Amino acid sequence: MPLFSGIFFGVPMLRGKRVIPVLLGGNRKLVKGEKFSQWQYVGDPLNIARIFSHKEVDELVYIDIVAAQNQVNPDYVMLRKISEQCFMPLTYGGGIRSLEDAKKAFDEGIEKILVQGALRKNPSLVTQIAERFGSSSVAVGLDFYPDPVTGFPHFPTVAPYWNKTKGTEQLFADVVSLGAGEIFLTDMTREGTRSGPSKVMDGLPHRFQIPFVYSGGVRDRADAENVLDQGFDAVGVGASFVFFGPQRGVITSYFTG
Amino acid sequence: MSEFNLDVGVLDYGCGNLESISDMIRYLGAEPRVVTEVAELANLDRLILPGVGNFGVASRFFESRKGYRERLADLLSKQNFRLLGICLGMQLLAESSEESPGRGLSLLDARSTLMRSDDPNKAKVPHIGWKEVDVASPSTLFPTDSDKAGPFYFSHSYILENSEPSETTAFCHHGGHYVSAIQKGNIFGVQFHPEKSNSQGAAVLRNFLWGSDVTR
Repeated sequence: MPLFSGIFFGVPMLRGKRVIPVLLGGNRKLVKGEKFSQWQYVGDPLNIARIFSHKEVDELVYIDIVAAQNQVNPDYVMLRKISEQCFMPLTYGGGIRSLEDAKKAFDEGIEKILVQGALRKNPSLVTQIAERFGSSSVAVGLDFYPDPVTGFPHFPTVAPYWNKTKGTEQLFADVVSLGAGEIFLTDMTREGTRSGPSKVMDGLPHRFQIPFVYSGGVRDRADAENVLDQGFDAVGVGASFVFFGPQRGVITSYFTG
Repeated sequence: MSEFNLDVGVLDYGCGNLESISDMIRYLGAEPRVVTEVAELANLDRLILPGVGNFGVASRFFESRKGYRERLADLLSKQNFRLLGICLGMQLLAESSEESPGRGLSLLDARSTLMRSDDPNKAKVPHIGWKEVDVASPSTLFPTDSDKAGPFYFSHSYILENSEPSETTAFCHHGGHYVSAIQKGNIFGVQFHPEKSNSQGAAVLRNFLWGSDVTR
């Protein structure tokens, strides 16, 4: 990373908002999928974290889907190795089920924890983490898909904390009351597809005090700007930043300038 | 102490993220040591209070250890010593915080209050993201003729309300005009996280460690 002896003016983010590479992995590998399935190996998390750190990205989100889905503990050794590469904020999600899990992750250099699965049976975990480490240290992840008939969002990964009678705005209001500092929304039907962002949440972030991040399908700056126009405070980008190039090598990129 | 062998301490007071600040200090060429008890503070040239946590937890750490405030006062009386509070660490330099009961270190005539945004469209709380800061005038952390520096990474819900405006070396606007950095003699504070602010943050931390005094 370049070192300047004076004050350095960084590369501006998009309209002052964060553009965040989202990395999915597990078992010490990074993977790329489509709609959260059909995983392909794309690389070593350390190398890719290092590349993004050299590019001086605004933030990096790393989600361990193995820890999230298989009821295993986060790989704290891996977290330390990744955080050593990063002089930008690093957010981690996957298998955080207790205050102790959160503390261990912060101890390894993680800046912010992403909690999702714990909402099913233990939503007060969010409150515990917020009280001990500050709201800005804990974000709630909410994966959704639009109902094929009505278009209304479903949030299956946090059921029964969410159910159809609760509705989207009430869900967000409840999560804010828990003490979450940020809400991280992912459209499961667009994840990994590079088919453009959802518009289902258009305008909703404006109604809440905490920042919102959107991820799923973002292809380029125009898509990212569209997400910001919908009221989001930051944009998560997965497949468009880490993808297979023409010779099947993995290419890592970021918005420039 | 020689200029090249700074004894840099990072305080472990249960308010996390020692690794990130230690990584950046090592990157800049110093070898930090984690300190906890009063006795370990002896002979330090630099002490950093990292800041992810809760004011009450931090306050109880100091209350439960006799002699902490006195030892800090001793260190601060040495001309070559510098103290840096980051985020919660900066707020801890104050008297108290709205976040929880308990005394701060009372090194600043200040208190920490919750950021209040009356317009969620304008400024979200917590403030999470990158912002440029307005530099009040050249100072040790910002030895620049420019009136701006950064952008730096902020992640906080609480802000510092300081009684002495001349101690503010940088401001930022987020729904209100807030203190982003202070300097009072050899006491420094930054609301943002230099250890998470890429090259810009590294420059500020480098100035804290080795920059010439630009006294105010």
